Amino acid sequence: MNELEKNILSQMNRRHFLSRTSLGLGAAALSSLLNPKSLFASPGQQSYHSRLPHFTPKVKRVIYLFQSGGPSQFELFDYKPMLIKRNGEELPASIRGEQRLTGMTSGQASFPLAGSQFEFQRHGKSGIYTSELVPYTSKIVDELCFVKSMYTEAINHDPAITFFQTGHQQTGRPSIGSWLSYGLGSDNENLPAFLVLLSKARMGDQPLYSRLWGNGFLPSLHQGVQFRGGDDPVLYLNDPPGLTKMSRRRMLDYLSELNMHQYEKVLDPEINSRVSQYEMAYRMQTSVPDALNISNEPDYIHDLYGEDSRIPGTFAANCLMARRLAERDVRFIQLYHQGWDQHGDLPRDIQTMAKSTDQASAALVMDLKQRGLLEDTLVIWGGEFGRTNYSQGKLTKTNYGRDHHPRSFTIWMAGAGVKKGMVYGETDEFGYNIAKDPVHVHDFQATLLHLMGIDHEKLTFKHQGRRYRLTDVHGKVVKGILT
Amino acid sequence: MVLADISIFIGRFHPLIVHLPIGILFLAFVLNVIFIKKSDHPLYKSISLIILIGAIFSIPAAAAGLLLAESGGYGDDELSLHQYFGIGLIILSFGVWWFRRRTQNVNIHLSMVSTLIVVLMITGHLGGNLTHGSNYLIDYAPSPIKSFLANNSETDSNRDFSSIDIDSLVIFNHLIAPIFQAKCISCHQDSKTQGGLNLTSTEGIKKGGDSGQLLAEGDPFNSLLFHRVTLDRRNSKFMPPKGEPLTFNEIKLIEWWIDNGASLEKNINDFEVNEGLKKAAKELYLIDLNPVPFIEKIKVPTLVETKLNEIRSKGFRVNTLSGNSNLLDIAFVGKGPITRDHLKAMNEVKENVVWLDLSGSGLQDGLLEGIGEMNNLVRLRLDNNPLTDKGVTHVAKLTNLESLSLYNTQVGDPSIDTFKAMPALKSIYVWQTHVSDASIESLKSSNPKMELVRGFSF
Repeated sequence: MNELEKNILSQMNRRHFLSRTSLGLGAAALSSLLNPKSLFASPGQQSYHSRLPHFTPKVKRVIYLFQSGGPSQFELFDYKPMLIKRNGEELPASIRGEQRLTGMTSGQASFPLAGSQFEFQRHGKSGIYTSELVPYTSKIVDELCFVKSMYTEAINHDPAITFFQTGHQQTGRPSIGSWLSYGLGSDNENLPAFLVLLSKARMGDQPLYSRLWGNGFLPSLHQGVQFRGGDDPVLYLNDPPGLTKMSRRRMLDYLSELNMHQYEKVLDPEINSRVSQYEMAYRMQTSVPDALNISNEPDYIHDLYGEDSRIPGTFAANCLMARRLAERDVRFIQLYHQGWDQHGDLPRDIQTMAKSTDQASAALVMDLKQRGLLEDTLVIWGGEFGRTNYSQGKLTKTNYGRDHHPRSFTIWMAGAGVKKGMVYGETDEFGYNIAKDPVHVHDFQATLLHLMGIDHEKLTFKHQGRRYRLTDVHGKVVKGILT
Repeated sequence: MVLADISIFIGRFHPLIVHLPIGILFLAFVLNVIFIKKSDHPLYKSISLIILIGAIFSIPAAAAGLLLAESGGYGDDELSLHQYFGIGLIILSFGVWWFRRRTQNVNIHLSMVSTLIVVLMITGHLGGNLTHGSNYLIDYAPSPIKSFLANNSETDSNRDFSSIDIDSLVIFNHLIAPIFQAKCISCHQDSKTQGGLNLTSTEGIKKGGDSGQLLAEGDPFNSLLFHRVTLDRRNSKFMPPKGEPLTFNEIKLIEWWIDNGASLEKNINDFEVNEGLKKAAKELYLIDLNPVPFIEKIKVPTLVETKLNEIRSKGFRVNTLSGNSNLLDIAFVGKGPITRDHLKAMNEVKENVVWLDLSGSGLQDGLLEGIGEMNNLVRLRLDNNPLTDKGVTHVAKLTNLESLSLYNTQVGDPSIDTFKAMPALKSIYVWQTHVSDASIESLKSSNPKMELVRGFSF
């Protein structure tokens, strides 16, 4: 057996292969073991799909509005009058404790507390505090569930976003959407289960990597499919001029036959992935233009989401697309909005950022509600960590910055399975440490999976000798926010 | 009879004074047993004197006892029994003293003293029952003894209701009575009615006691029961005067019960359950008052995969609610418009379908009749279809339906009457329909649990 064949064979789960050796290497014998369902599952996981979800889900679709860069909770949702009162005073060492700082502020001689320059007020029947930067979100607080006690260990963007998406700070593991695609599959056979839309409101802010919506060690058909803004959401999806649909179909059929022959010879599960992805692409040729065509959306919808929603590639336009995709039962729709990393010039820049997301996020929640979709859809809004209560750089009357702060931050959720008009968890008066009900990233992931009917400890995949799961070996469902 | 305070004051010394003659007479018995073989011993000879002294001291003890009996609050039967035994004991002790000097027979001595002691113990036990209640000694007895001596007392171990069927909870019997049992009954029962109050019977509760009515329906703060248990602990009228006071959760439960009419018969389903009540019930009795969702309660026939594939082939997406469930979540994803033929495929699984999504399928009014027969439906999506009020009347039969989406259809105000009659319906989506704002408002007041969701704008 030469090196190449060894490599090919090792791609298949070695243990599973060995468990079948008694039946011989014969292609014929093996192909009789294949059933259609296994084409889309890695060997050894065949009967898995029939056992999921573990219990009745409350949520069938998730729209995750990920705010990349780390939005400052002090200017948006976490009202801390103590910081305003003590503006300019030094952060007490007793509060700071052993928290590590990034290289950007560790050299600072002082850590002056910076109170928010934006007004906070109570809103809605639930009387939740939100700032003047988010007037539209303020109008719908009675539908939202705020978690003010999120925390993470990651201190920088890439590890922090990777942590949120994959459950581990180092790369290589599947993202949430991939796990869901693997566990629950797609409810719409013409669209992938996991779609990604990107936008940014400021140039030059923290970058994103496509591995953040990657499939890790899961079969590659579970990766997030990124739709671009504009006319051509998926490059090279359409047939080139001169190729008819009929020809395309026959080509795909024949290609599929060839691929199946190869699979039987080398047992590479990626071949199956590739076959199914070709099929999906074929179906997407019709489904994608229909799903993403927002030209027939009436004016009042654009009024609801804001004028930005007419401009492809903006957050508002992406929110509108997300709603359309939710109507088509896409399981996990992830939006990334970049630009929240306000190390400096925070008061100026956060206004830009808030303006670019506030109306559309609120509009999305209410648009889903009026269509009855909020009953089984979950909308999540949040970033990878929070920001410090002290100023990075000089604190002046009009300007300050904030560094990364993993120890406490805020996210909000709306929709199925979470309580409405609620605030869960609290930070201390300095907004530095968590005072009540901490929620770790793993707890958030466990809760998300729970809402979708999955026991986070049971959705696993065996890789490199041990079983992995999204929440690694941690995570507890946060019962306090569940209805 | 209204007694002067001084009489009550003296009377209350009875439990104190009475221990003196008890001790003395007991000493006589002990000496008699020890020196039974040495009837010449001076200590043996002193026994008669000791009995005399005990008899003399029992007179002031009995006098105080009579005064105490007058102050009331004791069950008549038990009281008279103790009283007669006590008086009998005095007479008997004098008698034993006199008779003892008449005979030299040590066996007669012993048997007389033993009789005396037996009568003393009986009297003493009855007295203890009067003070502390007849279950005093049993309450904390080890389990085998407890069950052997079990009478009508429900002790703390019966406080676990976690396995009880919530629907059959009677508020008073299951939630309030155990509190009375644990904290009040020892002094307010048939055999002992302090303050003239008997909490073991409906009449007793309704009648109240010497200080007046126990309960003011709907008004906890003016209810004597609530008032007494929430007084300052040092107040002489604080209840219970001895033993554990009521816990916060117990008081909360009583407050809630009185607030809601202080009914002695009503079932849990007749009450508005609020968060505070849920918490108290959970902490005291391990009862979870959260309503069990319908889909967790129903039982349906088992599914056959081939049948599901048949339905799929007609253009439906068919999923079970969870891996092990026989409940179905069906959506039409085929080429519309949907016809009777399509819906016929679902006939055999009519009872299994709980979530049905037919939005944008070109559904016509007539077809809703068949859908109206799927009586386990919990969520129904009919939006974006050419439906009118006529068709919607068919869904009135869906008694378990909790959510109905009709946005972008032709329905209007007449359908509101259909909705009103549906007991489980909680959310109805009526954006882009002819339903008027006025009707939405009127439904809000007549059925506050129902939410009609219209279109939204900032």
